Amino acid sequence: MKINFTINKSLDSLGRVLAIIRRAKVDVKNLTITADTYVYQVTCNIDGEPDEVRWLVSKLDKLPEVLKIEEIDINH
Amino acid sequence: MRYNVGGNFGAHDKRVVDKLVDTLKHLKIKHVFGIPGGSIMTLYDALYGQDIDTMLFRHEQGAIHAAEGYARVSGRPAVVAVTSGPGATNIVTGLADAYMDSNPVVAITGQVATTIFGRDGFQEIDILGIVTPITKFVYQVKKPSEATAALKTAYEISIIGRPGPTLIDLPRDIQLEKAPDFEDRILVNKEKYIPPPPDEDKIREVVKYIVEGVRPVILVGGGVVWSGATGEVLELSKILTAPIVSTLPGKAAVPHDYPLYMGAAGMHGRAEADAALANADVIIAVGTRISDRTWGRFHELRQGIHSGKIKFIHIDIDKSEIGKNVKPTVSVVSDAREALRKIIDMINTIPRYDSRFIKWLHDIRTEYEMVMSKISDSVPGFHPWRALKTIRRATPRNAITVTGVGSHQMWTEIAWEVYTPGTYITSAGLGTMGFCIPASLGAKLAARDKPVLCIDGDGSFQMTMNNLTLVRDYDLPIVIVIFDNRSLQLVKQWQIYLYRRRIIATEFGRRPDFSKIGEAYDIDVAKPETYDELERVIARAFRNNEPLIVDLTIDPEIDIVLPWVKPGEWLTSAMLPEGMSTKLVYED
Ligand SMILES: Cc1ncc(C[n+]2csc(CCOP(=O)(O)OP(=O)(O)O)c2C)c(N)n1
Repeated sequence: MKINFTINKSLDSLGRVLAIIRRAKVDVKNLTITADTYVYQVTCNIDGEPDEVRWLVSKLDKLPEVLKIEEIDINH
Repeated sequence: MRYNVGGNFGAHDKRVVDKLVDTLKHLKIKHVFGIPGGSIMTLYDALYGQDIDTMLFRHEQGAIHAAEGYARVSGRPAVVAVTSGPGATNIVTGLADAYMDSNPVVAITGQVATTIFGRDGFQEIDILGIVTPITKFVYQVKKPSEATAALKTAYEISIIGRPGPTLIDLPRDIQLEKAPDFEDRILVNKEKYIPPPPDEDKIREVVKYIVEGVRPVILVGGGVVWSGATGEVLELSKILTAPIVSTLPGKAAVPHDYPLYMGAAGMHGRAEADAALANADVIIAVGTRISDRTWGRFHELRQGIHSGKIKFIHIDIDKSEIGKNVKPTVSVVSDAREALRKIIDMINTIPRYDSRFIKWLHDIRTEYEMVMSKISDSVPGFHPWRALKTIRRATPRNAITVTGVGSHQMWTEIAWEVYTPGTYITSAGLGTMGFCIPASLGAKLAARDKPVLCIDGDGSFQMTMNNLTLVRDYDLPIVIVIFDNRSLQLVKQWQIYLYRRRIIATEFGRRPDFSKIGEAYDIDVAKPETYDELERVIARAFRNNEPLIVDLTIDPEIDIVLPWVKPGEWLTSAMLPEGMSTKLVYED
């Protein structure tokens, strides 16, 4: 599974994102952060139960700093 | 003339903090709770002579719990302002409490000047790092042009959708700077908090399950209070003849004299509430996060849903709560009131119901009340169960009741009747001892015309009793009843039953003398000896709108809270008081 999201360009926000990911019961395979002028683009490849991934996505989406988020099932 | 401390600008120029105070006024903030210190002095200075009252607490933890109580009663965010370092760390417990119980609190923390950031300056602490997982929004202001926008954003986010605490961190140099005449935008997505309208297809599915069931039960959580959905819950219950069960915060959602309200379920819930939840065939869970404290464990529920024996409907404003612990049969993400209204409007048949089930639940209630009455009569001193009945008689129906954390709180979960929605406030998710006194003060400040009662434990009381001085300082006459068992009784109960009576670190000596504490704060203390006297002193205090501390002696030997679903057990295995023979399993 892959989660793509955009947050405001702030390491504080990034810290909040990581604080959520570290509590999810998933295995993070890869995490890339790319800086733009005003935002960070974050891509996260993870292994885990689909329900757990869904929970993680909705938990991340609770953060106001997460401006956009999408979950892609890379197996399909 | 404005006296500008620091800064290189004219006497009539506004500092960042002056603009912040203008923003607070614009947001109709009437009180700021806290304690000043070096890094937040400038903000306090800007409050000087303004139409906003500063409420000076004796510990920042008191300020933030008071803000929680204030927010709960007023329905609006409350503002706390504290200094950097220890001031900021002292509010961490309150922020966590507000996060767990969805209370809208806006904290403003002072911070060292940006020039010494990250260099371990005096009273520098990375408060953002500390509160990251326990806040809905945090922001460190790094430029003068961000300050007011950050405050407005923090305020708005704290109350939009599911409420929660927010924090802005204000470096000292920025506070002092001249306010620019423009405002930066804080890049956030607030729209996501606007709850979507209930999905029509899902509502149709919900209605189908509801009408097919014969033992529907409505489980209400704190979300029902925030949504103002009490009317809809009662209406649905009447249409379905469905018992209502609540979580601990959900106790405030339903008037307890409604005959189909069975009480709170869970670890120390009522037996009929546990029985209702455990034997329902349709559960409509509204505004609750499906906590282990309410369910004991999830295994049986999950199995029932999986096999189709239970249709579990979960309605919540927060989509991350759906399926977090239990995957529902169907879920609706929306405002509770809106979803319930749609459901009610779509029901067009008279649903069946199992009248024997309802009678069975009522019989459990009757049996419990009889047994407890007998037990209470058989002990020489005060019994918590009967004491609460007595206090309830002496307390006006519209009184706001706040509790501490411990056995006394659990007794209120079981035996305290709430008549007016929103008038029961307790630290449910975090279980924070010390919550009662400050939260009661905040509640009283938000509703001076309402009686406020704090039901506290002697341990919880001692954690925040330093804030009692506010009772006289700001004329906040609250009535406090201390269930004085000279123990950390709830922990002791676990030691007795789960640790083979190996009692360690849960017993207090006879100090302090609470009458002297009362005297120190100029508050009368009563130490009643009979139930009549207890009723009389409390009724008199409320009648005269006078503060009072009641020191209620409880023998810890008899202070065992039952029912009790032991940790990790299922609701039907609740330990019941001696003399109760009912099994909580319904014979269909
Ligand atoms: C701040 C904090 N510390 C410790 C606990 C663990 N704890 C839960 S209940 C309890 C006992 C509370 O004692 P008291 O306030 O006297 O109430 P009682 O149980 O005696 O009615 C303790 C220590 C807690 N909930 N909160």
